[in-house]
Amino acid sequence: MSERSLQTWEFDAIVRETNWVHRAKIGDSQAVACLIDKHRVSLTAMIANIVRDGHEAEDIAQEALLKAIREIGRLRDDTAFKRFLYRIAVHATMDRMRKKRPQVGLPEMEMTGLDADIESKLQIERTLAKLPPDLRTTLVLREVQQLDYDEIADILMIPVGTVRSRLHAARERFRQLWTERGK
Amino acid sequence: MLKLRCYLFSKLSHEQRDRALTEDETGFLERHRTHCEECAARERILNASLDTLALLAPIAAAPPESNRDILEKLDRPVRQSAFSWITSPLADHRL
Repeated sequence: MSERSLQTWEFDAIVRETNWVHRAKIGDSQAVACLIDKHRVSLTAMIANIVRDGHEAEDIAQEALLKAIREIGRLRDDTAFKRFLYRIAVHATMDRMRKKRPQVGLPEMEMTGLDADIESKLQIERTLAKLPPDLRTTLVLREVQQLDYDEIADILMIPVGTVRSRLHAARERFRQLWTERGK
Repeated sequence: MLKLRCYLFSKLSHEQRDRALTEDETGFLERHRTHCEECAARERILNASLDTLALLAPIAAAPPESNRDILEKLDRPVRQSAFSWITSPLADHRL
């Protein structure tokens, strides 16, 4: 998680995106299309990793992109579109999870004879389903999306210290549930 | 209740997934592992479960090939009440 200087291609990408944001603010639909093109796939993948459902992820990603584009005029820093979009998406995702009935997890089933990977995948789904939305989101952003503390704090709009303690709690809970599997 | 050393071990064994530990910290973890089987077992399960999560959790989501669906919806005017903006979690955190 150390500071590093930007590579030329990264700098070019930032300049390009800043230009799209500037143009999108004044109603340039081609710039809007470029912004959607750039972020849609990775945004949908991130949401899918949290909600564990590709179709629902598409739905939330679409909702978040629409909201971000409609409210782009409120964005003061043109270089911050990604942060703005991901914040909207993660909050929409957590709202969606909270509104759902408490998850009871996937039904227990006889797992003997299953491929080890399939068995582990089922176990992951069950374990994640038992985590509360804030812990699940923090855990997935760190362990699956590999975001650093600052990025997670920024997206969730919480202090870095809270990210650290929430991540600790999420990992401990995940480990406990993992240990209890099959009991 | 966890002993202080066990608590420190737990804290550092989590943190080693996120940052490079100092020599002192690594040395403490190594020493404690040999003395406390419970902590060593807990750490093994933690790492195994989180490694499995990182490896197997990603879901392949394939968004539509075209972005026309979003662009068409954007063309429709949206009416947003002042209330919805005031209550938005982002209202106080404009970038």
